[in-house]
Amino acid sequence: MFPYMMQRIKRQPLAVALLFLLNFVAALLLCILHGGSQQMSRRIGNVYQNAKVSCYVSNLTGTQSDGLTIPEWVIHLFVEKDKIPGSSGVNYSNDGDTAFFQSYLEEVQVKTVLTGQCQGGQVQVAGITGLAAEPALLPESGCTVTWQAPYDETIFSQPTAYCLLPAGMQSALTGEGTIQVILSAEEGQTMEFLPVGTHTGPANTIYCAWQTAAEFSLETEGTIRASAISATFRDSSQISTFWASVGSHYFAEPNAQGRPTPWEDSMRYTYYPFSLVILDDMVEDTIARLENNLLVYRLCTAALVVLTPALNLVGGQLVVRNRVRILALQRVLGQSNGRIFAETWLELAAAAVAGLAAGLAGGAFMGAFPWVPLSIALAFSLVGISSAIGAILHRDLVKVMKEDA
Amino acid sequence: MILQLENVHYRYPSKHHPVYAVRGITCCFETGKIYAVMGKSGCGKTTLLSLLGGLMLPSEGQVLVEGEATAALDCNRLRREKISLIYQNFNLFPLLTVEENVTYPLLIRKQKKAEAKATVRRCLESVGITPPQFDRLPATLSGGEQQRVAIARTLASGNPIVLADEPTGNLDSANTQNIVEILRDLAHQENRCVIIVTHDHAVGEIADINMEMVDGQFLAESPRPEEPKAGYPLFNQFGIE
Repeated sequence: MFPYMMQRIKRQPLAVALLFLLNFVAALLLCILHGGSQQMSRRIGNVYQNAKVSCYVSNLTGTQSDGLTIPEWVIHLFVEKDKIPGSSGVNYSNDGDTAFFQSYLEEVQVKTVLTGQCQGGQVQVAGITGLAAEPALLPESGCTVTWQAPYDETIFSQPTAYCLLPAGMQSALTGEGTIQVILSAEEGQTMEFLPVGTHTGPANTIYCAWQTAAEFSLETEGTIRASAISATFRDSSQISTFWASVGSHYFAEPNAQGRPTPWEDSMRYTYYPFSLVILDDMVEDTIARLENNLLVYRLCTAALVVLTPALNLVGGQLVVRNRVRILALQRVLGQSNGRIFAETWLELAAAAVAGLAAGLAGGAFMGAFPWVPLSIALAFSLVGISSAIGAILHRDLVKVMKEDA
Repeated sequence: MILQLENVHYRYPSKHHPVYAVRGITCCFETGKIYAVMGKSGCGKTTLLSLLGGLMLPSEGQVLVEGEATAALDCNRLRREKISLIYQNFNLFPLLTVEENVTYPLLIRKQKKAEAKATVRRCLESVGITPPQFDRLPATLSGGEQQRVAIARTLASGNPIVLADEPTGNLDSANTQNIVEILRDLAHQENRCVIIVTHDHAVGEIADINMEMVDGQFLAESPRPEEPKAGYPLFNQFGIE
């Protein structure tokens, strides 16, 4: 069909080699860029998956996370209703959003503080949902918690009468080894705890289960207030969704001036009473950096997809211009334009396809197969090659044949 | 008559005014004869050859090959089966060997390589190309040898019409003589119609018919004087013994 095509290519492989090399490099680069893009995407996913972003209820400036007076309806957003003493039968207006909040958040820590008197003098009873609810108890604060066997932090997850005693408060114990805290003179408002461990944190603070403290708070004050609430996001990638769908309905964003933000949907409040501080700066910075890198990879990929056909067009033109006399001679000997076009196209297209395939094979070690950009580059490259050949075949044969060799 | 021109005109399009390269030529060409078309540069010789070879179509009039107008024919097929062209620049495929160059036209006519081999070798040897040269590339041959390969290609194709555009233009006198004799044999012995466009008077001397072209028209057609027959007195053009 195409006489001596292979012989011609073997004797002067430069044209074929040029297009092969061009497409090989393009495909290899595409694989590398695609691999890089995939890696960036994976890293972004890993950051979201592994990064633990916490949040806490705060004042309007975002500077105070403890010692607040957080009402029961806020506690209700974070804690299941059945864990809040005295809440059965109570209908909160935000009942529908509680589940929503809790679907985004985990490891909720609540602290409620009551003040009372014991044998040793004035004392604070801090009800906590876990050691993490009280930063002063954490090793980072230099505090040591010593538990009596077999007790541990789980005493805070149930409404128990166990407590964690300050190390220097042994003298306040009764003869039975318990500690009594009188919250008020009224009957039934004396708390009695059995210490099951000691801490070297705040000297006058006894730590007990939050539900226990909450019950006494309800009895003495008629309501439950929390001095601190914090939580961790289950999925860092959903922070924006959380804020838009439910978070911003109850909390303002912290602002340095402490400027009150009007709360139009509230029947009780004119302004948001609290802000919610979300500690996602580091995650956001990391994600932004990675997304920037991803964008660079994608832009480079797009540039290469455009450049490859352009280079194939130029390369094809160079090759075909170099053999215009040969093409004219084929016409003079009686070969049809269609056959000449097909033969030349086949040679150049095969070189381009082979180069892309080799580049793809070479890039296989990246585990990346950029089918879409590669297909687009190939399709337009073939169009470019066709244009290059077509343009030459319309030249004046007579003139070409008369030109000196 | 294998080739006829009937009032053929060719006009090159131009922005300001058209250029008439061929003006109203009517003539015919027969097989078994060698024609020399001579004239100054720019008189329209190459244009005429291109029209005869189907590389261009006339603006007016018609070119008839075996009675059929080229405008109605597949010109590629015409050049495959009826017309061969030989150029001053030899125009061989630089990356094909001598043998492959001569075989090429036969292959595009769908002839099998094995069948064509014998024909090709015979044609090459008939123009003086020896077997050791068959596998050489054209660049390793002299000008005369390359032109002989081009003629062998024409011989092998068997096309009845041979058009040659300044075939001796790049050759020295010895090679010129050689080529001219081969072309003459092509006409007289192979019964082809050979039309040569040339400036070379050596070609004019061996041509059966000399045609002078001026400004796109034939000025005169003068047959070569016949050799005197044995036993008959020699008469000059005025009938004087």
